[in-house]
Amino acid sequence: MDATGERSLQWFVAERVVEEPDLTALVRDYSGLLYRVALALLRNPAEAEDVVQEVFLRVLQHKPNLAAIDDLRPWLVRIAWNLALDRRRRVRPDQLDDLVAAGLLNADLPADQALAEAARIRQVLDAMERLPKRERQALLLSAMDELSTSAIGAVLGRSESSVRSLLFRARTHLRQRLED
Amino acid sequence: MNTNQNNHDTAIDITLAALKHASPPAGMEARTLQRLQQPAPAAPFRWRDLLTGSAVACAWWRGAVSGAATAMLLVGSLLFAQHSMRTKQPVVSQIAATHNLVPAAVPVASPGCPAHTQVHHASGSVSATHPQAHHSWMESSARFAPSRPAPVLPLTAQERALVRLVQTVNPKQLASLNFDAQEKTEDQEIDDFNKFFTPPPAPPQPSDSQAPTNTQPPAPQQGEQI
Repeated sequence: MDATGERSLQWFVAERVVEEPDLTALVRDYSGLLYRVALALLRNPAEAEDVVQEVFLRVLQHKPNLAAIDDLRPWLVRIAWNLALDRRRRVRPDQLDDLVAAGLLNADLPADQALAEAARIRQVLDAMERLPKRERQALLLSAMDELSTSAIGAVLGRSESSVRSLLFRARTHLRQRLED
Repeated sequence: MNTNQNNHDTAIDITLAALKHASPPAGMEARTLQRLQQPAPAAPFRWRDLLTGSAVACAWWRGAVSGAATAMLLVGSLLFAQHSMRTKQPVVSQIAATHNLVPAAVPVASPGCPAHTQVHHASGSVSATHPQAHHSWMESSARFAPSRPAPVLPLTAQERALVRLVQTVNPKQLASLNFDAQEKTEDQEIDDFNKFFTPPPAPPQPSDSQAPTNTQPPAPQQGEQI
């Protein structure tokens, strides 16, 4: 191989290395978001952590194709979402609701206030479970700050306007169910 | 009402905020990285992957390969079904033919012939030396004979006469076909005939005053002594 060929190969490899995202950085940047997405659906911290690890294992399998992905965030959230949906068929989400509700609270709250808040959260989570599936999923994903409406639409396979409509209906229905 | 609604909205917001701020368990990142560094266990070879996933990179190729495989399966099953139907029909006809022919094919020893010479009524042929072989030939020919319904035989003369009778003769005459009724009618006719031709009874004897001029003495009665 001549010198020009060697140089172009080195450039190509270097370019690829630069373009391929670092897996450690991906874990650092997205593990928290993925954990929350999985936890919102599964309400089980251990299962949510398993989902996060499985997501990054999938990423490792598709590492050569990562450079072709425009926006990694919705892609990763979608993988986590689908894996969590798969697990949700095995794990009943109300199994650990009390523990999760307590775990979601701020540790600085006084005990009596924390107890009342936990009961309230539990009540809302129960009402959420009775919502139609699409509305519930849109509402849970909307809780994630990092996800825009278009990103939620990309995860759920819906348009932006459809997601907005789902969110509105979800809140209305949730309010009605809490009043019952 | 509004206060309640506000309370519910607050509760919803608190719950969503709690989900939003849920912190991952300590050391999750480290555990995840550790797991990623472990060598991945060799995935078991799956034919499904070969057909739909890893072996074929493009999505449309996967669909095309799956579609082609499905089409081949369908065509194969269709051909197999047709073939099995074709082979079933001769078997049924063979069974029917065997049932019809086997009793007729029982060899009958004809008098005067040697014991090993036997006539097969079904074919009319004689197998002198290998009756068993002939029997198997009969079976095989019956097995491979084409299955057709027996042709309609022509009517006999008696049947034709009956048909003509039924079509032309009046019901009274038809009723006479009953042998009992016919016999009664014949008896009646014989009685009528006999009544008609029997001689009339003898006239009463004349008294003395009215004696006939006939001078001949009356004929002696039978058995009367002279």
